[in-house]
Amino acid sequence: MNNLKVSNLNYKYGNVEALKDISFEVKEGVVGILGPNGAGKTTALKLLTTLFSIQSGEVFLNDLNYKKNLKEVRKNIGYLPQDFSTYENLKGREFLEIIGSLKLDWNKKNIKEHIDGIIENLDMNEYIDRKIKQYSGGMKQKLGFAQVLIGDPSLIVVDEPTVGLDPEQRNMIRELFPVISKNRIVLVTTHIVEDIEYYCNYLLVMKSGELIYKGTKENFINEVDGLLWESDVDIDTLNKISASGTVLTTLNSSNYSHIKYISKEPLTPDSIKVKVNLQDAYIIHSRLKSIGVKK
Amino acid sequence: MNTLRKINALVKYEITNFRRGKLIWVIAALYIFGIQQVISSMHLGGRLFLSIVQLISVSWLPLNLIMVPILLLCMNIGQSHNDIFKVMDVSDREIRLSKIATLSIIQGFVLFSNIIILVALGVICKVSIRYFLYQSIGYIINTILFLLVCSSIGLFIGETICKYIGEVGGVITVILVFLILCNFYKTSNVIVPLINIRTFPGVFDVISYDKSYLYHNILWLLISFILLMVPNVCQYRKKESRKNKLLPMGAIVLAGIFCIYLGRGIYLMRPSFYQIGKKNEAMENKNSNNKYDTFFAESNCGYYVDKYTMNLHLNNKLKNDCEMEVKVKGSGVNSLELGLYEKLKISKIEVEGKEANFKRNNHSFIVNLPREYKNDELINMKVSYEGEINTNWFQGQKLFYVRNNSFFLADVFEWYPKLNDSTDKEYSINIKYVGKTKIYSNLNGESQAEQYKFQGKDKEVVLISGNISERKYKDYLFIGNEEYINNDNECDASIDAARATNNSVKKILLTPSIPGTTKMDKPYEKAFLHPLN
Repeated sequence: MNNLKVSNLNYKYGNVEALKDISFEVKEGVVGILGPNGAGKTTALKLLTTLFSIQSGEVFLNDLNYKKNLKEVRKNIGYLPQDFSTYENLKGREFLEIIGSLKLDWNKKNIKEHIDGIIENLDMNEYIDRKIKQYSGGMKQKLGFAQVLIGDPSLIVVDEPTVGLDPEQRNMIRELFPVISKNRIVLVTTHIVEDIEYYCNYLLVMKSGELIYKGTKENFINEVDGLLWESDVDIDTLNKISASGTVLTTLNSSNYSHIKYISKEPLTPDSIKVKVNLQDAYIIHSRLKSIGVKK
Repeated sequence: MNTLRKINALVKYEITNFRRGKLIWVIAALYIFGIQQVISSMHLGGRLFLSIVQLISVSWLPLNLIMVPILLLCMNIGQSHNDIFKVMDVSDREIRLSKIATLSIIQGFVLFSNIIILVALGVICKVSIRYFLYQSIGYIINTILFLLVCSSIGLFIGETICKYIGEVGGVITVILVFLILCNFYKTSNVIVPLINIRTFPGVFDVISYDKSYLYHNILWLLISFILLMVPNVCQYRKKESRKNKLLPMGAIVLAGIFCIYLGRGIYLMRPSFYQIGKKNEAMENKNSNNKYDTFFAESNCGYYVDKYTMNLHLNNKLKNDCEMEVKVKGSGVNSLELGLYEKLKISKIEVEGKEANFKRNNHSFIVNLPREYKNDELINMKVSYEGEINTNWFQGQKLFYVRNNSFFLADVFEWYPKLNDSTDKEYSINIKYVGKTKIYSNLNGESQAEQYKFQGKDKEVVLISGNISERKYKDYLFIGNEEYINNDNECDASIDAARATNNSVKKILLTPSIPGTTKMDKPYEKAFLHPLN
């Protein structure tokens, strides 16, 4: 079983600490990395894809040390960047064959067979021999997934795969995750919680360079279950609760506001406990520390 | 092996994109248009006359026309960057090598096309291999240098300027580079334009194989080297790689210092402007103190030179010990004024074997005689001098020059002490010349190893050498560029031109152009000079 182990990973840009003592271990399946902008997701991703060299800490992919076995590690990684692009005058198959030649020390025939298999697997036969400039956004992203699969890597790292896609194309991409995550670790960064709900089994949540949560998404929700309330409040009460920074959402009407807030105890007499979903859980987790509410 | 495989794949990636892009069509269309313009320019006497020197003299045009798209292409390849290649263990070095290999292939096609056109013209013109090779060296060097420099500048713009300023900044830089390096609207060749060729040339010595040309090309090669190295060094910004930075940084600094040295050298070697004029023009300007005007002695100066005996050394400098017999034709001559190009430094003047005082005056010198000379007396004078001759006229048009592989000395130019009058003089000239090319003159001559001897009487003397040869046609001896002297129509036209001047000479020299054809009052008696534009 494939395994990625990260221990005490730190990274600095000059004097600015981008990652602080990150440690986790994940096995096969889709692992979502969640976090706001500036949380350190991209830095972590660049380190895990070997684009940045490790300053301190250790990373192992199936016993391969990132520092000592860089070439071997790279053979086992597939990477799809957020801004995946290539020359659009190329045909999809040509692009994949070039990637195959770059990545694999095989003869042309074997590379071709391997690529044919991937095209078949991702159901791209219909358009793979067209120029990339004729592809839709979803097709281009699918081509990105196809290049990731070349060489059958143990670790796939995907950065914001559904950004800029329409709902139909987003659905098409989401459906790929079960296909590509078979017998592999797939790390996906996203800020779209819906994506995480759809295909992730395991979650890593980052904030300000720190890992604030690692575990299953069910546990992620359970940890903050019972901390979310809703209530109709007048303007004075709203201001009072808002000042403590615990209000999640507000719906205003003429005389009162309907609010959701984070608290261990109800703050108004008519408060009702709300069932926490992933989106709420993500926000609650990221606010808990700043508002001083303990789990 | 792995590196080669990766470079091959990346080259395929870039070339496939280029093949299907629009730039290839733009480059092809502009190149073809440029070649069509070059061929159209090959007219002589109203008819199409294909010649290698004409091709070479306008060869900058198609290259200049494709400069912007070539720079844009190189810029695009330079800014081509994909993180997924790095994750695939493709190093920065492999990516750079693949970019350079891609550009080499594309540029190779341009070079190949240029060579094919040159060879085709060589075959049509039926020139000798020696002549063809001599002419083509500069043409090929210019093309390679152009492509190399454009590639390195384009890559540099793509890898640095586009990265830090953006693509618009890159395109603006490309346009600025074009305006600086192109040959359009430039008449002199110093550090720019990039293609070192005379934009307004005759057909003689279109590309000067001199020290300045060598410096120019090395300078641009070094600039290319620096531009290729700088982005490389920038990649070693991280602390752990600082040691790797030292060697390339040192190389860049050294190359930079050498560039300054070469640039200064090129500037100092630039040709001097020489305002050639006719006698009447010079006399009119005499009072206006126009120092550039050719020297002409006044008709009633009271003396003339009857005989010259010269010992001439020609390499990149001209050195001469010139003995003269000056005849007095009036009374009371105390001093002599003779013309001598101002850059020729006189080391000694002897009159009757004794050193005499002299004074320099623009393109002439005045010697004080030890006594007054009377009518019909003979003054024996010896003038020793040396200096560089590299002159040009308006629009960078090359005039008279002396190099170790080519020279042109003629007409009213004061390369030896002269009055620029129209009397016949007797010349006896011994020349020591290190160049491998033969020397031709209006005078009769003989040669042995590096020694030449010319003798005879004429109004002036012309000396010319370069990549030229001779041909006997219709009882005339033609001397000039091969494709011209081998062309019967051209020879007939030259014969007609010679006959039109009532000149019965049988020696026709196809020479570099002199403004207004000649500035002499009367033509040579022993040769007809037919300048070709």
